Amino acid sequence: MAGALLIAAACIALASASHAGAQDASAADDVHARVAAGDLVGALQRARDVHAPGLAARLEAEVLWSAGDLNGALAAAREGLVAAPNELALARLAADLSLALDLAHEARRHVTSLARDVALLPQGDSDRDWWLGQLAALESSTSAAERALEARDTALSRARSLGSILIAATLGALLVLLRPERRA
Amino acid sequence: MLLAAVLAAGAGTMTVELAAVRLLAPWFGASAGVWTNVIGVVLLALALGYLLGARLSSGPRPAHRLATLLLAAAVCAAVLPALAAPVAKVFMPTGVPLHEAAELLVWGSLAATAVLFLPAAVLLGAVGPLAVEATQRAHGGGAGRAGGRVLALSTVGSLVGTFGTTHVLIPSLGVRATFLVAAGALFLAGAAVGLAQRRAASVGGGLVLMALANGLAYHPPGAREGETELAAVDSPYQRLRVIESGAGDERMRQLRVNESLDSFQSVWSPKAGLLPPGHYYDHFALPLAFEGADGPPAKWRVLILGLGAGTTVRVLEGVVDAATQLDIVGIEIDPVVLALGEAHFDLRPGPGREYIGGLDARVALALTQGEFDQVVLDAYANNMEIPPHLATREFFGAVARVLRPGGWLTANVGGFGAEDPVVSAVSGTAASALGVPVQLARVPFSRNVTLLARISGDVPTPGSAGWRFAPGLDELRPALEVPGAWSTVRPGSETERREDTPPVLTDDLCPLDWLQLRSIREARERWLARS
Repeated sequence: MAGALLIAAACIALASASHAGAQDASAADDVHARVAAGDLVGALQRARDVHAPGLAARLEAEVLWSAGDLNGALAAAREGLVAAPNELALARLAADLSLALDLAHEARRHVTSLARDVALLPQGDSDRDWWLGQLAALESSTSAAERALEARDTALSRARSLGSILIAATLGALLVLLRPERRA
Repeated sequence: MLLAAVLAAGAGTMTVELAAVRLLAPWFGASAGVWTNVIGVVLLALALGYLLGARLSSGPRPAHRLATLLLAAAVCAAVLPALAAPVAKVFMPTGVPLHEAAELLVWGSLAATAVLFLPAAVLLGAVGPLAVEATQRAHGGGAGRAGGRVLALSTVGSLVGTFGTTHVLIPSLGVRATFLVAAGALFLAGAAVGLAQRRAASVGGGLVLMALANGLAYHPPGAREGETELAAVDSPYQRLRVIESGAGDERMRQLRVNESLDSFQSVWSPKAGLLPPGHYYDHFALPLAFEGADGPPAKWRVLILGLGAGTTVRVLEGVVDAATQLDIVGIEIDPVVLALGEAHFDLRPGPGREYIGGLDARVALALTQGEFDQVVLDAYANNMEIPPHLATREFFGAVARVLRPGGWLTANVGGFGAEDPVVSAVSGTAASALGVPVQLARVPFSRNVTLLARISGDVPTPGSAGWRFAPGLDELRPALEVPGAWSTVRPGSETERREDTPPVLTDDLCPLDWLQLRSIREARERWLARS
């Protein structure tokens, strides 16, 4: 009897999860349709009703991105990754948003995490090949952003050093010339 | 001859100093910080030059040394335009966005100024003491008499250089030729003194070097890959470039100022009306959107302070209902910008379209008669600086006087969200001056915020009774309904701000320069990296 009840409970749980999954897929379509119709508030509410936290966060971030709130979209993506750290599409979105906001270091974190998760996909899986292609593109963009950041840091360091040295040297020469001249 | 040389040297010195900022502006802009760096470095170098000149003046032939120094200073001035680009690029890499640029603009301009202008300014500083000594030996009398005459003529020369550079040389010849004129004046001064001292060899050598320097090119930044530069011109205020990208109906033009970074001063697209996402000008159509919800107004008078090349005009002309008579008065301080607007941005003066160049917005406001339905405030200097006198309680009080009851103030405020120091200070000041709540609307895909206020009325916000849009402007609504898109600043809320920010900006105390630097420095922590 107990075993039958356990099996029944497991079947109900499985059915609920499957139903939730189907509901989530339908919700995603609904969110995208609302965005296309200009109902961003309705799309946000629908996204937040989604069962799967990773998908909910991704949909919310996508809606906020379409509204031009890149900062809000990245915040939603970050929160989603805390709840669903292996959500590939969400990590990809977070990396894209980080690059759009010129946050090279954050983009690198997401790309590294994404690469780790993609490596765990089964070999020969077509999804794996697709994700590897996406990773290559992200890696290229992130590396370019990191190089630009390094160039800025180098330029700033150079400007501080050389500017300070030249000003100090000029002041030093001033002090030297201010000393009384020796007369023969 | 000596005194004539001193006059020419004074003119050359001021020309170099004034043109120095313009030479660096394409990379570092012309903000107060850059000006301070240039003036500071030049003053320091002049001080060193005075002491150097004092030491050199004790030799047997100060006039010989004066000639040599003037010729050397001439060559230094002549090569400056050619050196500007390679030196500036060391301290300002390409592709830096605005929110990363604050430290680079300050330190980079300091380092570039020191590298480029220290040598010339030291040499020019040494001219004075040598000239005084040479004059005193040639004409007798005391040091005071010789010094007074030299200083007087040098100052007259400086005046000539000051006014001539701003009003004649830079607008008519451009930056490179201005430096060559300064170099030429210094060379002539040195040659005159040198030939009088029978130093023909030195003069000849200087002439050769000047000729070589004259052949070197000046390379300010041009169009980026995929862009076309339609025009580039130096106005009395700034370096202006018209850049086009895209093709066919996807073409876009931007008016870029000085270093521009990733900013623009004006925008044009082939079709009038709302612009692609990321352009704050669309929000200037919100008053028409709200007031036209129940039918278009018969007339709509707009005063634009900071007309630029006419982007706001083009947006409003494209969205206004055919039944509405749209009258626009536009004020732009730089008349060259208006000329570029007519040439490249479809800015067309005519009946109901009065565009005034060469007038400061605050002055124009004081002279304005009549009432307007809307005042648009979009006045910026040097890409990101709101002129302080256009952000004070007194200024917003003057704006209120030209608005009808129910009239609208719409302002572009560059800043990283409602808590940005600049946005907070300007909106709090406006609320205090107008006595009404000010609404801040986030501009999608942008660093900007739009300030909206209404005299004796409310600005509609999502959920309020007036939240309805005129047909044709409904596409603005979705992004504005997303949570967080609006912030309200009420009169009296200024006391809740940080202690180190003045509660209300006034003509007497308006540290906008400092707030803007803080805005950029804090952007990363406050807006971009919220976690």
